[in-house]
Amino acid sequence: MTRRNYIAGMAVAAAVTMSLPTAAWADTLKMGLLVPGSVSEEGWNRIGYNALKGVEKELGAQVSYVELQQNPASFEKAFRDYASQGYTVILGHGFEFQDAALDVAPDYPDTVFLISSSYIHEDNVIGLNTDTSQPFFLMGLVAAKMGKKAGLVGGMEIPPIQQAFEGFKNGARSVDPEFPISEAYIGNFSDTTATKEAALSMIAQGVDFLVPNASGATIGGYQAIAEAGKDVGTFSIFSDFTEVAPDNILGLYVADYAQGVVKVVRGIQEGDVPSGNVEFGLKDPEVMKFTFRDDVKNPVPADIRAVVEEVKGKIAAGEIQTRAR
Amino acid sequence: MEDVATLGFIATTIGATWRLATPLIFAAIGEVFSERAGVLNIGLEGVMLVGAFVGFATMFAYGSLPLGLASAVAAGAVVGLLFAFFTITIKADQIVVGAAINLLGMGLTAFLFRTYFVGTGRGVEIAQPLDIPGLSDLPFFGEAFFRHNAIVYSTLLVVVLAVVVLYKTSFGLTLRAVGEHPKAVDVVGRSVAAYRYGAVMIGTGLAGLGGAFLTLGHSNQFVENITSGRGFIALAVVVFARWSPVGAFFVAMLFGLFYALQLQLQAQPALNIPYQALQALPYVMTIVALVMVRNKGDTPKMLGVPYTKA
Repeated sequence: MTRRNYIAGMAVAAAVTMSLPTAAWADTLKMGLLVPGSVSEEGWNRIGYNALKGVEKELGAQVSYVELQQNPASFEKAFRDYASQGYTVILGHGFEFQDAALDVAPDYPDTVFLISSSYIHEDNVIGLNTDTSQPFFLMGLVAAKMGKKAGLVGGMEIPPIQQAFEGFKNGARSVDPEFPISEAYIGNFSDTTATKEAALSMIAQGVDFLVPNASGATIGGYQAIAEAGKDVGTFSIFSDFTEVAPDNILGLYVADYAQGVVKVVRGIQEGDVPSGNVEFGLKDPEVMKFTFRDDVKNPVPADIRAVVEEVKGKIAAGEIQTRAR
Repeated sequence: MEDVATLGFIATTIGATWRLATPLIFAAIGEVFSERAGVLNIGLEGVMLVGAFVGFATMFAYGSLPLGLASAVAAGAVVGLLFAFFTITIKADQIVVGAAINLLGMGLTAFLFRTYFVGTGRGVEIAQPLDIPGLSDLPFFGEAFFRHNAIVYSTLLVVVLAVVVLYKTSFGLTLRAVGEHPKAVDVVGRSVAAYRYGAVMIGTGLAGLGGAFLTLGHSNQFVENITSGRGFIALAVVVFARWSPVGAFFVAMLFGLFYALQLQLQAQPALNIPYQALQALPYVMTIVALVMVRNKGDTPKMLGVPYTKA
């Protein structure tokens, strides 16, 4: 081995060792997730889980999650556990995690605390909000154009559900200010039987367009709609429930929250921490997908679809407010 | 508001009442057996969850409704055997073991569901409403009483069977004696422990059936914690019904009525009552009823007391 080769070899080795750490450990992205319930059901918690998996897959992050079953006492500890282990990003999936994050965040300035469906922005605590009132505004519009009376069955009266329903009502009333809308809450997110009975009772009272929104218990609503026959219309929300009510689901609103979270986390990884609250809406088509189905018995007619497209554009451009701010 | 007074509204409410009462009727009558024999099983919620899950899983795998229901009853009885072993044989505190059964039911069903059922798609075929010629199509009465599935109707059979077994058979007499004066039973040479095991397992078997109604007779999917507190309401039903099977049937119906009513009333935008107030209705009515029902001293005397041979 000549001296020149030796030096060249050293240089290569040095270059390798200098480039390796950045990929191997110095920049290893670690992301933690806190969910308020079980990730096994189609619904809210699954969305948070998918976001975590998205970050794992697309950004190669090391990920971990914990289910906290609506237990506020454990939120702060869970945040602290992740932050003290050097997690770069912790996503608290739900506005209820906001206060705990605010308490913990000052102790861990290098960690970014993302909070789903929250409007907060204080230093390293950043709210991410999907404006569900926007697609619900479109559903309300369709309901008022196609039906006689609409029904909404919610889990509990928490902000994300209230806002969705507010959007629905505003959408329906943009067509007909007197359009009748029934609203009921079952008081939890697990009682499919209650969702089904609430939906059945609304249908018996003349509701012909119904949207359930109760996380794990949502499915009971679709079952009631399916049993009521093809005269009752609905939209599949958050997940694809087409199999449950194939004759009734006129379209789908699927939020690919994962894409939104990946976008934000990629920014954080590149050193670009959002400077304010992040809101996803119809302006982010990769996050919010609103589509109609053609293979249904009473598909939404073309003229109504055209109106929906037009309104969708206006909402995306910020010309139509779907709910009070 | 104009919808409230119509016959259609009343018929729908009555129909929903019976369906919502069905799981409570099974679980409460089961608990009547258990408590009549002196064993207080507060683990009903957990047992119902196990029944709901096992019924669903069996139906999902084999597609047979009778098999699904039978396996739910069997699973309930197995959990009951566990409860009985700890409370009767080992004489552990019944409240503590009952609480443990609730936690076990919740954790175990959630674990198994997540492990084996990632996507359940359309779910399972549930028991379909029976079409009773001439009756199902009646105006008002058809909707209210004659468009249910066989599981709902079987609540009537369970009441009759429970009354016959408890009050007309030697087994029932001995079972009740075990809860009142176990020593007398022991003296005549019958095993107190055996009767208590039997009573507990009848009770949990019925509770399992009540749970299975949720997944096989109403919704066609299992959801974690699908029982949503029905096991605890069934416990209140038993006390309110003064440990009588017929009473349990009617009290469960009363609960079902208030539950159905609150869901119906919430959907009336004109009423303007906060939904929380309506949701509290079944529970407020329980308290009112318990205050009004006078204690006639018919609590089984040895309720919650393990029996030790002198």
